Amino acid sequence: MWWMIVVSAASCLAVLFLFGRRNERAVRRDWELLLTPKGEKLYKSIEGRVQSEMALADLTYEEAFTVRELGSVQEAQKLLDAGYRVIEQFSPDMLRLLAAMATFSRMVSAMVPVQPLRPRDFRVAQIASLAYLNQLLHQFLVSMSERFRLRVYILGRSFALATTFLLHSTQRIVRNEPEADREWQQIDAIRHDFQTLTEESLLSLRALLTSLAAERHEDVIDRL
Amino acid sequence: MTPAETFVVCVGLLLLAACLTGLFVRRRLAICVSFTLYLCAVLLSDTLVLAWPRTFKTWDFWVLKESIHNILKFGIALELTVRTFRAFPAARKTAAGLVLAVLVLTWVSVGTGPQLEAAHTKELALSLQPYVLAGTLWLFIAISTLILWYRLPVTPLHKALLLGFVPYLLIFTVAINLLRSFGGDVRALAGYLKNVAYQILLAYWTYAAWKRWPRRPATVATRGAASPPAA
Repeated sequence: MWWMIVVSAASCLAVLFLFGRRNERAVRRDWELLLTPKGEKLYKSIEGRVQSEMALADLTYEEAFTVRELGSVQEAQKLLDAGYRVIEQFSPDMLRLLAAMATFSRMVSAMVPVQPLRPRDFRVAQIASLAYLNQLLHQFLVSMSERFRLRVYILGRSFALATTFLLHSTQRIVRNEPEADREWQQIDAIRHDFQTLTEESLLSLRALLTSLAAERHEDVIDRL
Repeated sequence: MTPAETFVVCVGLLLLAACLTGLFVRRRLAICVSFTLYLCAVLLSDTLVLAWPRTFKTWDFWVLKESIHNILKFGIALELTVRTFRAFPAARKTAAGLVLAVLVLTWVSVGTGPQLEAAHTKELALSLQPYVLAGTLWLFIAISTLILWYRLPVTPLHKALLLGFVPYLLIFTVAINLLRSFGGDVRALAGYLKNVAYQILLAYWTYAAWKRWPRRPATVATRGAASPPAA
């Protein structure tokens, strides 16, 4: 009997800790956004914000590339740094969005089919490798929800990887380290991959919202 | 009954009455019907023991009331499961499987032990009670885990029930085991432990029953109007 008590006490403490610190208001707000017409507004607002942030980063990087070609290296480095700041703020938001998507995907009984990431869409070798991994593991998973979560996980890892690479390349250029040309090429490739990852993330969000909206959740809406 | 025992029972009865009044005033009696029935059953049984201790302060009556309370606790757990998961088909399947597994595990642990061979009602009660309590506790833990895992919304009262029952049933299980295994001071300590936990639990539920909830968001008016975003 005492082993039952020990197991129960451990589980009890874990449940109390996690349940006690759960923010009910945040849970309700998330569900409310997903299950009402607010969901569509949410998608549009996320899409708009993500695209404007990416456009801002793109603009800064374009400017940096142009200024560099004109010969003003210091100005180009400043712009590069500014571009990185935009991405630095944008990336955690995307990671949070992907994490929330993975959580809510557990609730869907019938997920809209999703395709794995295509390696040829990516220029950075490591991110392309992750896309290959996505394609491979995709074949081994049975349910659409699992495939969706795998895709979201790979997207998250790719975002983290791209941000790290961008930081390293930017730092090398700012510090005037040798082989700066290669770093500029790398930054161009990462920019491209960021754009692809963002589009793929929005595609996943749309799939999740469509799947959730297709289910009958009037009862939950009532409860909210 | 000693004056201390009478005092403890009276405080418990007052808290029970306050909790039920709170549920009634705030129109929450139907949010968890089994819980309302459970409170009524506890109120009735404790009142009987307080009013006619010679008749009702017996092991036979204790076994009867605890059996009814246990059935109602199981009922609360099942009602919480149904109310929380009914709108989520994916989570509902998992919850159904988990509830079944816990019930089977409880039944196996109760049915296979030597406890059923006990000769007296008191022995039988003390032997069976920990297993039934542990089973109910696992059921509440399983429901709470699934709610956390799926990030499901729950009403404040349902959350209060889960947060209240989980530690209380654990303390009750420990207390019953101490009662069964030891004597003297340890037995008295177990009794105090259980009573203190019970009063705290009732005070918490009373607070939850009376507490005003945040106002419902305006989006409820848009019920049923959810449409998928353009693909």
